[in-house]
Amino acid sequence: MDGIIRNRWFTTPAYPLIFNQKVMKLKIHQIFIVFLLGLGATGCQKEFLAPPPNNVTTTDSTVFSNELQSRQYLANIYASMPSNQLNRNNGQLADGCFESEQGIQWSPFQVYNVNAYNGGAGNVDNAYGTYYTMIRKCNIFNKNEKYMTFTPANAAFFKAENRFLRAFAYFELLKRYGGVPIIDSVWIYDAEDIKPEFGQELKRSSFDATVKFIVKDLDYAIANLPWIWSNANTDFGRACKSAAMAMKSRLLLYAASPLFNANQPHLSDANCPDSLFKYPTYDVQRWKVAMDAAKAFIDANTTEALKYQLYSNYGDMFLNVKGNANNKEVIFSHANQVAGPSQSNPTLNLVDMYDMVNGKPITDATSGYNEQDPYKNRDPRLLQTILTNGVAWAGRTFEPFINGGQDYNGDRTITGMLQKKYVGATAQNQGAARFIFYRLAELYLNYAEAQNEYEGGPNANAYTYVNLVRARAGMPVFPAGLNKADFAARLKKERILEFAFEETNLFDERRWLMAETLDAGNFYGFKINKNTNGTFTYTRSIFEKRSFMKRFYLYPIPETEIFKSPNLKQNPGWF
Amino acid sequence: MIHAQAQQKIQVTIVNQQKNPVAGAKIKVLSSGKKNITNARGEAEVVLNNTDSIAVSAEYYLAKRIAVNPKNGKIAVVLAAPKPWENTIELPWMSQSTKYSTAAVSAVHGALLAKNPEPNSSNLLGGNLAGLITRQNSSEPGYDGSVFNIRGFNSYNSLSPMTYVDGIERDIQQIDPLELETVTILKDNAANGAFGIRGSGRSIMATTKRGVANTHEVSFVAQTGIQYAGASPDFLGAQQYMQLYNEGAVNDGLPAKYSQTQIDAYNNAGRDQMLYPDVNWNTEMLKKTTSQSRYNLMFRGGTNDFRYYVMMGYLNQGGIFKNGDVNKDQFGFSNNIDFKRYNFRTNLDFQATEKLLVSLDLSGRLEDRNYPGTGTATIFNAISTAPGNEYPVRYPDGKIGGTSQFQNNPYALLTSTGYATEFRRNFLGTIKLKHDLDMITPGLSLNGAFAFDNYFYTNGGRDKTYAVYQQQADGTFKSFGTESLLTVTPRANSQDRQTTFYANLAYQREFGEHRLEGFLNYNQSYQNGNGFDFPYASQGFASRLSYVFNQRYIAEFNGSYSGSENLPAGKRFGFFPTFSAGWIVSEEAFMKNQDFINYLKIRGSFGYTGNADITGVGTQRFLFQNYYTGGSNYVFGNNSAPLGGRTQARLANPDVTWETLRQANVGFDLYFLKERFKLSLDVFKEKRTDILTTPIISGTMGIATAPYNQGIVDNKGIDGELSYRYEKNKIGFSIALLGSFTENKLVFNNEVYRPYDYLKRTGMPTGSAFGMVSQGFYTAEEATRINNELSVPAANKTIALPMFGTVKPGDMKYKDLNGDNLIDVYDQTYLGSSLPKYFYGIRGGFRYGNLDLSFLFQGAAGGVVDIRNVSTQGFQNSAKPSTFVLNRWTPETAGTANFPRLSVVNNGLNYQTSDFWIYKSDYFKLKNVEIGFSTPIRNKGKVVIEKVRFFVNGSNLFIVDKLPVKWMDPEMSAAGIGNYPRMRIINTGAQFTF
Repeated sequence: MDGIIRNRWFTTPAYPLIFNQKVMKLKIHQIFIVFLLGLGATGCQKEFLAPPPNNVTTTDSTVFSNELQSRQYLANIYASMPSNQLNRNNGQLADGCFESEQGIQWSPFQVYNVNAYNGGAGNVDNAYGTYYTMIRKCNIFNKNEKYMTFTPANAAFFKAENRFLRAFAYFELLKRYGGVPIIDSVWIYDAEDIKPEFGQELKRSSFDATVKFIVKDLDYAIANLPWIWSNANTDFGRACKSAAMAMKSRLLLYAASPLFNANQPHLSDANCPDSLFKYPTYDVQRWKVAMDAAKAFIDANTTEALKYQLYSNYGDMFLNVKGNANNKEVIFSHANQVAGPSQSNPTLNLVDMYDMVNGKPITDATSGYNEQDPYKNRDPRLLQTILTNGVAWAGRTFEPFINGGQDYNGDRTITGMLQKKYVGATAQNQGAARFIFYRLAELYLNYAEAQNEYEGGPNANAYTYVNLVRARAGMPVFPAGLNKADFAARLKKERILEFAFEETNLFDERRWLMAETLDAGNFYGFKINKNTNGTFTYTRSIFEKRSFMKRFYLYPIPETEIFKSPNLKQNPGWF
Repeated sequence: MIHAQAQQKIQVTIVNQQKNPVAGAKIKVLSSGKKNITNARGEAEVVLNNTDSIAVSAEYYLAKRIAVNPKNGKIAVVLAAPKPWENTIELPWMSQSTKYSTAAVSAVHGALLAKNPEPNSSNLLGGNLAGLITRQNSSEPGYDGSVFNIRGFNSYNSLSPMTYVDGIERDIQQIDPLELETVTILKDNAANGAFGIRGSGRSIMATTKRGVANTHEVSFVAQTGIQYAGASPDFLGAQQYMQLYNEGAVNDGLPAKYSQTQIDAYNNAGRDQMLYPDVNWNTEMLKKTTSQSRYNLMFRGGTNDFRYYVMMGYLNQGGIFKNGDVNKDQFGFSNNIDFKRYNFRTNLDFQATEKLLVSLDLSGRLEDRNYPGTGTATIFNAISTAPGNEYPVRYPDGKIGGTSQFQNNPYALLTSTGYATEFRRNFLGTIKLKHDLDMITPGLSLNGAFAFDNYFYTNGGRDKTYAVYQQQADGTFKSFGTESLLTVTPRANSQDRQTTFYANLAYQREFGEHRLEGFLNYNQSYQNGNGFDFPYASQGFASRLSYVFNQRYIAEFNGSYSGSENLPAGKRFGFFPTFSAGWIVSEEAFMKNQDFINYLKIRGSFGYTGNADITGVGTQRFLFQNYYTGGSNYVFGNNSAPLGGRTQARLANPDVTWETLRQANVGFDLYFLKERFKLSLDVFKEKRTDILTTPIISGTMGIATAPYNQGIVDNKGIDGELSYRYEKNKIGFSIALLGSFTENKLVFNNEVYRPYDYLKRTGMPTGSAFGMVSQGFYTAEEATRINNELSVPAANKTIALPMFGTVKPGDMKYKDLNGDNLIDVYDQTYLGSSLPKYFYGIRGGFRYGNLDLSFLFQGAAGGVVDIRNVSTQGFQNSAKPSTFVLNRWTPETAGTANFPRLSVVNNGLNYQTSDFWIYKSDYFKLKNVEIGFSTPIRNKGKVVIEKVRFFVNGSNLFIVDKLPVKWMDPEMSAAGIGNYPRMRIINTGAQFTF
């Protein structure tokens, strides 16, 4: 059964010729010509294996000598900023602190909440890779500034915007990790370094140096950008001088805070020099620097022609993020819309912090708080931030009650609440707004906090600014004559509530070294039952017990990065 | 004017070397052209002139021509069968004499392949070639081809063998099996060496049939078959579905979804079927059988100077869906799958001059395919997930059933989403020339080929959307979705083309004890695929030089200097040498005085081949090029349009080069006991280096790089064949065992950081499955303890905390391999290799008189398969449960359960990759059987048929495997569940030879 393979070339027998004489005259040289033509046809093509097509041959100079392409390149850096506040890597920063709990599934942040973060398995919000990618883009832009010979004014603005964006990326790293490797040039990859030791020379810069590096970029942006882009229709969303000043204010406020500005580290670790994640010693002057940065913004806002103002309606502000003709509070925001359903379930621990509208905390027996009608007469920001039982939303009523409520299963809220801030009312749970990075209210609170810390008590300006924010919210003013500690405590709560779900609370609770109290212990939600008479019974129930370990104050450098660069020191407590 | 010549009738008897008569041999009288066929005694009468010659030919014998003196009145002609090693094998650029070849190859005759009724030629090869591993991923007509692998995997990047038809790179899938003359796989570098930079994926060489001198044969084959669908999953009925759903909901802490009244309604057989449906979607949607038919008409023959093979073939395969014709009357289209293929081939050889042989091969293929408007996989997924209780297929008035949650009514997906057509028009041509250059020096010749292939594809069809209806309590209907009119689908065309040119200067000559054979080759090919893609070009020089001393000592060199444009200019070409040697032991003097061993050749090879086909690595071509590309856009301004982004593409690898396969092979070919036994065995060891691999780079680089040539995989194995063949008079018998064992090891692939050794892929086979180790199910006490200890630091926990979601009693428990009290991705270990290590076939044939029977068993062993899909995971991913989940965990069955608790929301814990879901993929199946009966018909009167053969054959007749569910095929685990079912074919036919 073996295959018989007929020989085609070697065993052809000499067959008698049957074709006519004309064919016979075909001479051997004619046959060769046929073959040589075949060979020649290919030989004539100078290079049969052609060079690559031009869509993969663009170079630095072709891109950056062209104004449109440079602008597009810059647009791509802007797009690298985190845009999807509602679903960042399947979770929100809010889920990583006391604000909320991820409802549908375990978010990466849950590892913090159940005290199970082992440093390697989860890289929580992928910050390390994300922001170094953005930094590389900025460094490429920086390196190629020499090609930008187009309209000089535009080139100057582009360069300054690029510096702002690099500062943005480094600040995101700083607030998570402390000092990080400062890379300000374009690294190339050397194939000879392919071994686990790659990046042997890579080291973290000190906290101090990292802050200084960011400030330098911000100062460049402040010096070279307009206060506000006057044409909001074409330029809203571009970095401007005020945005750089706002970022500088927050940066210096963070740097002056107890996590970083202290004599003792929050956690000692022989493997990690303190200077990598904090200043060597406490210096009260850092509060002054922070205060001055906030004041510089507030003062500029009074002298510049175009002014920021608090937006009258707190709740509407987050669905109406537009250029300053519409919304004069927003300083810097992400242009792309927040997308995806909110999966964050606000905790009762957060909700309990909202005072009654009369200014009294709910724990005050005279406050008028009724647990069976818990959302009544509260700080108006509560209902503007959080979606609660019985509220009409997206064309119907939100029903998170256990016995037959439409949303009990559908939206999987385990606390009986969902996030409302930023979530558009057009579709159930659908985000529909730009995410705000910086707005005027923060500068007021930044000033008040830094001033109170620096001068050991609030001055009149601090009161004025805080009360502006409270008045807009519809809350009574702070009582006069508060001492430093009382003012600070009230201010912290104000900041937490004003900026709930704006990706600041996770970092604020850490820089204040308050996460061990705010983010530990029993976490509560409401179990809601609908009664036959149409009323509801609210039962406070524990959905989770949390603990906060000291090492959580700083993110761990991803384990894989330590593996690749062993001289990269890990943050204290991580291994 | 015809001269009357003396004519005489004589009897010719044809016998073979064993003196057995050869029935069916053809005798042609050269003077008159008349012919006759021998009977069962090998006899035939012919009328001859005084001086005349006859040509005798018979299948499996060397044709013979003899001068006959008719005076004797009776002559006997002995036909010699060629020795099995006296033929040639298909090798790169030129065939070679088998006897002196040092290459490791395995070949199969097309006649054996055609015994299998599968219409796709790629599905015929598994089990027929030692060293070839095949896997068929789907049975869907038109998309049912197998993927090939030769000798296991020596890379973790995908790398398939190159397939060549008659020496030109072409696909073999839709070639008609009857066209195939042989299929050869090239296994070692001695065989693949002349392919150079394209040789290391190894090669499959198919040849098509050609004309045979001095014969003329017309044959017609008609066959028709029934395809039987493989088993469908045993999904639970409506009542059980609801009971289990409620159970799962309660397990999840949710209210029960179905009321007891609803469930009890199903106890009443006379209930309202519209309100309480119980739809078995599999029987509702799928026929048990479908049909296929094939017709082939072939002409084969020629003279010494002109030989032809002409074939026309038609194939029609029907689809498995019921209700495929509901739109036929009104709209004139079918929703069912339908595949029609028209093949033709004309292979011509003619002696243009005494020294010039010209071959012109023209072949083509038309394929007309019809599919439902929704993809087959989507429909099957809907069938496998649609609950039977939620809505009826249709209401009596024709409204399609559905609810707001369940709008994917499978019936609607099939019948109410339009249809899609595909038309393929492929035309392939080859011109080959061979010219003797004896006038320069004897044994020299020049030959070459120019081939032009054209592949045209267009599609069409019409689209539609539909609404589903739900009957309300008051008898009215609520609708979901929108009904649209049929709209014409925009047409897409593509025209791919390939031109190939090669020329060989060949030499073969013997000088006394020295034999020289070899060639020098230039080759190039140019492929323009996918319409606008930048063309793929390759170019090379190749050579083979073989020297034989004293007919027994062989030294051979195969090499290639070849290049690819996927590599940077100046670094495109590489030199790939292979050296091999052979020793024909049976030619030695000390072997001459025995008749046990007829032929024994020991051979060995060592050499290098390459691979520059870097497009399969998941990156783009031109890895050596840095460039900028489009990136995410951004919106500036209140009302502006987004501004397109621009960003740097991945970093180039300026030194990208080919992968190198270094291989050593040792083997032998042995024929013994009157050539009845054949034993071939090859052992090989190989190392692929420079495998394109993504480097480990610091995250602070902020960008990905192109892959670098860094990876290393070791591979080794054995393949061989033992066969026995017996022929005597009326009886013929043959059996062959073919098989291979391969084992590979990942030596280096820049593996990411793994803190524990058991997590490491390095050192394990490529394609390894890693997962958790299951340890039964959590008890209520354990679940409580875990949840109470949530805030306890890991080191102080008394029970490990799973990191995949909240734990409830009955959830799957996994082993905490690293002992850190957290069950997470660090607790995954090696669970087996997804690639079977053993792959084998058992092929046999039996002939008694006019009756013949053949069979092929095929098996695989040593691999694992993951059985997770919608038929085994309960309600996970909105699926429906099958009988597989019946013995699930409940508080009552906690001790005996073999399935975790049911859950109606997605459960992140129970469906992790784990040994619970991993089973051995070993299988053994009867791949095909054929029974035939031939009847020679005496040539009398007007009956012109010489022979008729009736046959019945079948494919995929039975399978034995180790999976826990009978409806899953270990080779094709989604068949019948998320994709078209595996088909078994029973086929009958007749072949008429004229």
